[in-house]
Amino acid sequence: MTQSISPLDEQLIAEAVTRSVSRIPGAAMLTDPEAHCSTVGPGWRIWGVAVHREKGALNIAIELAMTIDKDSSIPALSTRVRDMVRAEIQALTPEPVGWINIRIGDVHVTE
Amino acid sequence: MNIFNRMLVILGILLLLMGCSTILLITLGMWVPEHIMPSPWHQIFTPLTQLEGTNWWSVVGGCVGLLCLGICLLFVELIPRSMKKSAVTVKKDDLGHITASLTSIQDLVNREAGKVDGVLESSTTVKESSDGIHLHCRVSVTPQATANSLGPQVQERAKEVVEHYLGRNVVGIHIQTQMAPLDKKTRKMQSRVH
Repeated sequence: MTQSISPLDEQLIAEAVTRSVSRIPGAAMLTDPEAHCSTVGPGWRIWGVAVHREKGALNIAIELAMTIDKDSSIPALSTRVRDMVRAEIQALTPEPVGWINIRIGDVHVTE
Repeated sequence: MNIFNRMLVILGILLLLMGCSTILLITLGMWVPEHIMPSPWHQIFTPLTQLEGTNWWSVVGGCVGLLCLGICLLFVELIPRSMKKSAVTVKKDDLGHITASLTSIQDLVNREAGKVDGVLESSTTVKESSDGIHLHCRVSVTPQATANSLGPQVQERAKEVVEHYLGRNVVGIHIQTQMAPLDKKTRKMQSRVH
């Protein structure tokens, strides 16, 4: 059985990405047009998220704003975001997830 | 200039080089027009083989000049444009890469520098090299501030904030203090999140 891939699927995946990001304290999607432009690469785009398929795997690029405290760091929070997004997508589709690139567009530090 | 325009420029330069080379070789007697061109065309170039004295020197000099100019232009056009990096790589592995935009790091350092007593405003340039990150901070200070004590404080805070939050090594911080306001283009530092 072959599985056809429609753009709607990519939209659903992008929405799953934003949903999982929204559940992570300190991480947020960017909203201004810069986010839309800077998520480079082919594929379907939503604000700050680009999804495309390559060699049978789903590749995702995300642009985020981060609010970090003194006990956290950008690499740690980004890894957490990547793990959460990967888990969310794998729960949604059996397709393998390739790379997840994260671009931090804005950083805020809280005391 | 887009790729199409660049292709046109390169094509124009190549035509110029070919034309100059042909005229030069015919003038120098290395090519005979009758041997390399069909009948109606070689008559145009035949007078070049009969040039003498000043005329000969003028044609040869002009062609050599245009050839040099063409080669220089071609060289400049073919050099790949240096792509200014807009982000610093924080982490890169098989699962993907994590980058932070230069503006976000600049804002981070500027905010941190602004917390130092005596600093009115700050403008930072971030550069990434193979050994780490270089920061160049221009800070506008109050007349009461002393650069000797304020500079190291800004350096320390900037280094700490970048190394701690970004996880990258800062290898150089250059601080430039001034009392006059910075003439930077103020970037909106408003929140860009949901």
